[in-house]
Amino acid sequence: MSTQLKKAAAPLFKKSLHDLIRGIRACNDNEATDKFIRSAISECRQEVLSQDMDVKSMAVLKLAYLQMHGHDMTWASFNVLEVMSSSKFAQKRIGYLAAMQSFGADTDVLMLATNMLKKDLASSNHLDVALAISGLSNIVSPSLARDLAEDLLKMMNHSKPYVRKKAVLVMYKIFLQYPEALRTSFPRLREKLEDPEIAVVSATVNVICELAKKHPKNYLPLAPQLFNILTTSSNNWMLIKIIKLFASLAPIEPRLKAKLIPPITNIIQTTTAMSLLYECINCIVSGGMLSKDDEQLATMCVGKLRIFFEETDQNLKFVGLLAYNKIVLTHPLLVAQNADVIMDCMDDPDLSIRERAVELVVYLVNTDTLFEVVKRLMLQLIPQTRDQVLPEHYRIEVVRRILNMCSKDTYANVTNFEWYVAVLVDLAKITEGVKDIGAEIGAELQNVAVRVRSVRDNAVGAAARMVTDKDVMIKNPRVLKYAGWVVGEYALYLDNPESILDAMSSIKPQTLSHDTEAVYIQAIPKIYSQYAGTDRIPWTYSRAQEVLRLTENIVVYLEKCSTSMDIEVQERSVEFLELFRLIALAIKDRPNDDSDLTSPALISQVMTSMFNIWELNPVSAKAQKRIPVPEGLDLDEEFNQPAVYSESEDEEETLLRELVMKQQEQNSAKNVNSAAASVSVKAKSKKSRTTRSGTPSESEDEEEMERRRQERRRRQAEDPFYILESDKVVSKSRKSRRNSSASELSGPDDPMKNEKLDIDSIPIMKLEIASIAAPVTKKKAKRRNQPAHVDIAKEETFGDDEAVSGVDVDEIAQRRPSARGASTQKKSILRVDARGLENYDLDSPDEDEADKQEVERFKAEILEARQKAAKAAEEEVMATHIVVKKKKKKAKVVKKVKKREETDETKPKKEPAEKKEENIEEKADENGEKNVEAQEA
Amino acid sequence: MAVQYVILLSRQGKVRLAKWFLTLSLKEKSKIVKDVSTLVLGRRTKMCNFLEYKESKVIYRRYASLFFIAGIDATDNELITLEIIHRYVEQMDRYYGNVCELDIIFNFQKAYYILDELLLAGELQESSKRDVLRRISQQDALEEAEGDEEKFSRLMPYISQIPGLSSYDGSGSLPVPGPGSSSNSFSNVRASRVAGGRDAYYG
Repeated sequence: MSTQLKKAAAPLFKKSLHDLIRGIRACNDNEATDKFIRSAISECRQEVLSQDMDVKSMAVLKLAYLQMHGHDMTWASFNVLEVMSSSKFAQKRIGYLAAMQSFGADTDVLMLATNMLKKDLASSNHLDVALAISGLSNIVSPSLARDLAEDLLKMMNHSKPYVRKKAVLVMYKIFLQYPEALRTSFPRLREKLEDPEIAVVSATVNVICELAKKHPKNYLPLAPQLFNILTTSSNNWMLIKIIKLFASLAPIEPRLKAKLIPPITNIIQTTTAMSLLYECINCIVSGGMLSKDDEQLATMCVGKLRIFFEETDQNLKFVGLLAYNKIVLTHPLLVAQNADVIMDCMDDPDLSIRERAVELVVYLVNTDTLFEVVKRLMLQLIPQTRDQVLPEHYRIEVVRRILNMCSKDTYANVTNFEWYVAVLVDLAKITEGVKDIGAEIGAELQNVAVRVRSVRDNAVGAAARMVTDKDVMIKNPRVLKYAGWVVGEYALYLDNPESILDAMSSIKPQTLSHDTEAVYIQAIPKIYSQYAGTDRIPWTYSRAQEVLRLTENIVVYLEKCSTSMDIEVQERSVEFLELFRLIALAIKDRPNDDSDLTSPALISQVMTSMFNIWELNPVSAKAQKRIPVPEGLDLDEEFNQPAVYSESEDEEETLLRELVMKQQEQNSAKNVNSAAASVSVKAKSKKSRTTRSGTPSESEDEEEMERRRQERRRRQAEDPFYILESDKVVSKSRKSRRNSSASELSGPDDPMKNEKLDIDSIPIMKLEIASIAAPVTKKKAKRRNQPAHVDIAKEETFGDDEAVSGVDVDEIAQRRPSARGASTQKKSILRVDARGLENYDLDSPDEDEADKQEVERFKAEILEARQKAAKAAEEEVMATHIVVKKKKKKAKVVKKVKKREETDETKPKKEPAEKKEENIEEKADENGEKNVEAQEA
Repeated sequence: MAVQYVILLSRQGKVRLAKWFLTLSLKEKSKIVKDVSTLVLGRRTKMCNFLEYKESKVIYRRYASLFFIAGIDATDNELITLEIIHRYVEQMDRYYGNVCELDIIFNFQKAYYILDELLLAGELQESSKRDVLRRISQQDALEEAEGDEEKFSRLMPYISQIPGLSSYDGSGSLPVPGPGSSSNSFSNVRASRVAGGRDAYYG
């Protein structure tokens, strides 16, 4: 009696789901909730072990609820499986729900689920079958897919459409896990397009649509059937999918375009469903059906999209902008007709709409509208009140777009560059505190200063204000790297070089980033030479004292920098430090009165010759590549006998680094080489004489060299980590470098002590291409845009211009990768892994078959080789047993080869579409047989 | 894949339902739920219902106190996804009868079951409104018929409120909702959809 009572009462003490939820809701704070949930889970741990299926399934249901809130239940996987296999539908349902929620790819009990799923799929109750299919769609693994594909294939012909449609849909999941199933089930999938039940057809279209996204070629043969559905169906859900499907097919079959346009146009003009209309337009655009000359079609699309903006619905605006953004690439003028509505979106309260609108406006601005658009965008950036500050990513986006639309096509839209410089200055001010964007604004200022001579004065003035502004240094320091460069390079335009020098040399080290510091160190001598080297002011005593003061300031500054941790800063500062010390000495040596009015030669000649000989012009990134190789120059030929060969990979590394550094150096400062050279000519030339020019003259040495070289090559050939070819190139480039540097340095022995240095005797490397090859076509400051009347220097290059403009676009793209572009590089977990399907070609022979053939081929080859060897042996030894063996082998080979031919015959590579299907069926049968065999085995 | 996930989120950021059509680990799921919740809760009513998240799009709509959120592929149709969401809400409304947040909280499994009939493998499996509900009623009827009434009611106290197949006359009108769901004071989902101007992008 008592035990009976206990048994009956026991379940009553267990919490139901209701109690659990109520309990959780009753908890006031996080701590209490945690405690409650912990105890609930430990209760569940007991309950799932219960013999009573009701208790067990209730525990699983509770766990599923908790799982939804982020609590792990993988430990109960086996119990979930138990509940799934219950004979009661109510419990089965709970089991499947929990499985769908909690099972993952790494759930090990999935292995045990195969038979249970098989049983449920074969159940006489269609609800059980449906449940199993739904469940399978979530938990399918490659092995489950392989084992159950056959059963699902049968379900696709189930008597109830309810089951059929589910079976069709789940097949996509099966294909993802087990692409081979596609081959066997494709014919049936095709049949389902003709199913009497619309839901089944719709499901099939869904699956094919997804499949076609991965590998459209396989599904082209279905086009007639699909086309039929497109023209006859009135179910919008399905029509959307079918149109999407055609958007995947159209790019690979150009003939489809002519077929598709009439029905799609028809839908566009008649439908009232915005989603369908949008899908149709999307299909035309992304299906590649809108070429440049399809004016009429484009006009219709653009016109229809305008409706989206005339409604108050934000969603329609958003998708309308997305569509315009695609169409604008081919038909900018048509989209520009709707500039009014698009511009309105620029001030929309919704930032995502604004972003899309701004993205679009870049394509729409012209010389007339640029001014207005930029003004509107700039106003957005200025916060009206303290709390109305826009999010940073949006502000960066807007600044990028402004720079983008202004610099587009080498400033095609900018008519007033003074205005543009003012915009850049304002942008730098507005974006104070915004990371990274300063560099982009700075680069733009630099670009304008270099290219647009007429506004250089202005740009330099702006840069000078930035350099002297303490605020900029704190809030937007990245812009200073470029401002510093502009100030240095165009010091000629500075009104007050002295104050700039003072400002620059009074900066404490480490306040600026290293690369900016390096630029400053380069800029200071440039400004100095401009200031001190000018011959307009006579060198009176007071002037000399003034210059001396400045020079000493600079020396102090450079001394501080010479201990910088950054190697670039350190090197530059040490080099210039020596120069400035000499200058200071030279000034001090002058008489203390106004008797000598000539400036020291170091200032008047050396400094000016360093920086002011050549005008700097923009050069196309591809120009270097286009310089023709002069006749008679063999780049692979060695200039010089190699000196010492003890180096290994690490030396190459340092060499590469050196090269990179050199490049950087050249980028930021053109003449540092010659400056550095003239300072340390003596030391270096000596060095070069001793170590580098020392070609071994004695023949002994040469022999020794040769021997060593051979040895090294042998060693390298055996070293798997050593790439021989590149080694050659690198060592050669090093040699040529040495050679050239040696010739560069072959100047007068001691330039510093001898103040009357003959600068002209220092040879400047001149590249005289004109004499050897095609003439250099210098395009200096070519007038681009008539209305602007502003000279914008184009990049210099060789040959035709077209490639150059291509470079321009590339560069812009590189410099400003849009926020979205950057994010696509990251791999998203949300992307479905469909690698198996992407390369799955229904036409290609079975992979297994191909493998087999390959193996056969190898076997035959090996046998042949053996045969040959045997033959050779035979000739030598002439032993009888070998002959016998050989004969056997021969027979074997013949057999193999025959077999291979047979398999080849059954798998013709290409067949017309009709035959393809048969082929697939054949293979399906084959596979079926194989499976049967396997099962029997 | 059309729909990657469906999340129901309360205005306070509590998850009421999370259905995944992708296989992800619990950690990845939690991360997405967290990110998407912040994005969606930060939106104001006048904004459009689409968001970009990583490589996918997030489509959401607020019905009374609940946000219905669906993640889709970047290439998928935003408008029709809103329509799917709306369809789901309609269906729940009919099933629970004037659905409110509490219905979904206490019978969360039912919400999953309805979703399973509407979507499979992320694709819309049934465009007929009636069919989905018919299937659910069938399943519920089977549960009901299956077993011992007493045991059953212990398992699911709310099952008695759910009408069986017999009460569904097939003429399209649905049974009167049980007392539990209509007597509460929580705001009504159907009547007060908050966001969006247009009611349907579908036809």
